[in-house]
Amino acid sequence: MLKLENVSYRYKNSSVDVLKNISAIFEPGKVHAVVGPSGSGKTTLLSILAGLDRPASGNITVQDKDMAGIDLDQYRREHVSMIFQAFQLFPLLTAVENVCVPMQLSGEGLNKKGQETAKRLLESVGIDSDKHKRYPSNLSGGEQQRVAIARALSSSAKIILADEPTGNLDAANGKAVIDILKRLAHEDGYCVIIVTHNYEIAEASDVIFKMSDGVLAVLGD
Amino acid sequence: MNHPLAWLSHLFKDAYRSFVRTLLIIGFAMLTVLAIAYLQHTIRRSAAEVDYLFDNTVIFGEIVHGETLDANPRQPTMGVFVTQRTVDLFIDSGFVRSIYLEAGEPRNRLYPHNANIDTSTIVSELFRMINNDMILAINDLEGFITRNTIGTTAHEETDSRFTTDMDLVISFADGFSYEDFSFVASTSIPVPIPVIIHEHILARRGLAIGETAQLVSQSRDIHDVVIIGSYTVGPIMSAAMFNNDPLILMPLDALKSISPRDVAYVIVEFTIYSSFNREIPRVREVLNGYALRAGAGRVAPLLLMIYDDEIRLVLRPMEQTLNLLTMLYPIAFATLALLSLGLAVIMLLQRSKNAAIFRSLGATKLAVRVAYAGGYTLLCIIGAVPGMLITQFLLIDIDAALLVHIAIPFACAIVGAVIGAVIISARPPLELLQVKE
Repeated sequence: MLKLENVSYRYKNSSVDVLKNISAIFEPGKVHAVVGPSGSGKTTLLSILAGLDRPASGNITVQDKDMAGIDLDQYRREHVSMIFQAFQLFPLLTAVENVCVPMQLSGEGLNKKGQETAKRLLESVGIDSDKHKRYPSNLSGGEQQRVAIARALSSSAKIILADEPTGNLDAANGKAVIDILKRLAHEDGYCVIIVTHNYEIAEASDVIFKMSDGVLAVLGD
Repeated sequence: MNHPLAWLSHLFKDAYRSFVRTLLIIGFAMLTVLAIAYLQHTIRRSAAEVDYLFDNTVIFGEIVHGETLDANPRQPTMGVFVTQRTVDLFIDSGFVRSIYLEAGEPRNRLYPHNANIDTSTIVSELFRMINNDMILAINDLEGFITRNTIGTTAHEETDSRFTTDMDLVISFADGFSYEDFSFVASTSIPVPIPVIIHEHILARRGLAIGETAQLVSQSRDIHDVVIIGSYTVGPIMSAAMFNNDPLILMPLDALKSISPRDVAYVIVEFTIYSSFNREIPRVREVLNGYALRAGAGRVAPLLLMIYDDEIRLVLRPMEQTLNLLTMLYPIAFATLALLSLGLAVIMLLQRSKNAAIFRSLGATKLAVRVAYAGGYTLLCIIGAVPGMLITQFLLIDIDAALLVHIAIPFACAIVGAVIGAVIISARPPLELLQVKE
């Protein structure tokens, strides 16, 4: 579970809070959507949730541990996985090798066991074995995003943070990706947080948060 | 990848799967090593060659007739009488390594040892240059032979000017040799003057080598001489000496001791110490001062000739080229160093996105920096090693100084890699990974 209590944030040398007293609970087993227009503070919230920065004030607890006491690099390795709109796979690594990277960051994945785990994860997201050794440039957009999801699953993190995961996909592939994320949440117990400005995706989620001018409010459950 | 092997695996894949980039880094490192080594080697070798040539080139000079405009100024012209004072100034200048002197004394006559001599009659004839024997006093017999020896035997030609025998040939009497052609004046015991006489004079005076004879000068003095040898030359060589007159060759010191007046030199040729080869203009200026001063020559004005063409036309341009190369080297070196640094930064910046992905996946800044900077450094080493091997193969010695020169661009590459690694790991990952709307 990821819990935010009165979290505020302002950029250095700025007197304006970009995030204003945000309180929210992101629960395992649910798909959460954070919607809002550009400039509303979604990216900043994303940075905080992804452990790329710390809040100026307030508390964030993850799995009942105060994030202030956790090293951010460790937080990103062990607690949260990110999926990006532009997939952000390593172009010079194959699909399997991309999925192995988070395991390697944790000191695993160099052996055959890691390779087998990666292949299994790829197949679980619908990437057949004949595509395991392909480079991202030889995969379709939908396939690349599935590889990115498989990579997100290869670490021990139980929180998946998706930044516009269907932004570069057509409707069919976008729906397929959302379905995978919903399955991960509902069947495998992941806490999925989707940051998007697409209200259709938000409506497919379990919980909808609206971000407006640095303030987060629950729209619907 | 807080596991070194995982990073190494990733860097290895990155290197061989981006082959062109890798080749560029390795190739640049190798070429940098080769370029620096070759430039250094060329400068050092050229400097050594120039120094050697300057240190070993012998510059000749001579004093000639000041009004000689012949095509061959080396042709002695009657009237070139260089005073002893001028020669002393040349020697005392410290520039002259060796000097060859010839002085002429025309009014003399040889007689057999036991002949009765009427000096009053003889002196009158000698004054009018009748039936006289010319003395040529020299300070270096071997130098004289060298000057008058072509050294090759001409092939037979129909042209009567050429003969098969053109060299000066000296025949010594039994018991005599080159070493006997020296003289030290003594007031207590008269010393016979050793002379080498042209065969024609021997025949004319009824003399033979090994005999003593009497030399009568225009000052009415009679001096004992010992004929230690005779000489012959071919016709063409005879033409080079005093209008074909056969000569009595005498040590210069001997002529100085018997001549009633100061000796004046018809030939003054010298060599300059190699240590002054770089200062020939100054040498010329000083010696010119001696040659052009009033009374430097007894009859006609003098002209100083220094034959420094080899230095002016060959060594100086070589030295200028070397100076240019020496001046350009730091520019080339700095350029290579900056290029090494710049290339490293650019190559690392190409991996910005990869670094951002790693950071978003939980890699530490330090791990990213060490991995990428270290990977680049490793590629540079892979390029530098064959560069060093090729350098050795080209027989270019890699000494400590050269290693320092090679190390500096390499260090710049590492600095560039570190700078690049710091930049790519310091940038907020989302800046690079998020799609901007």
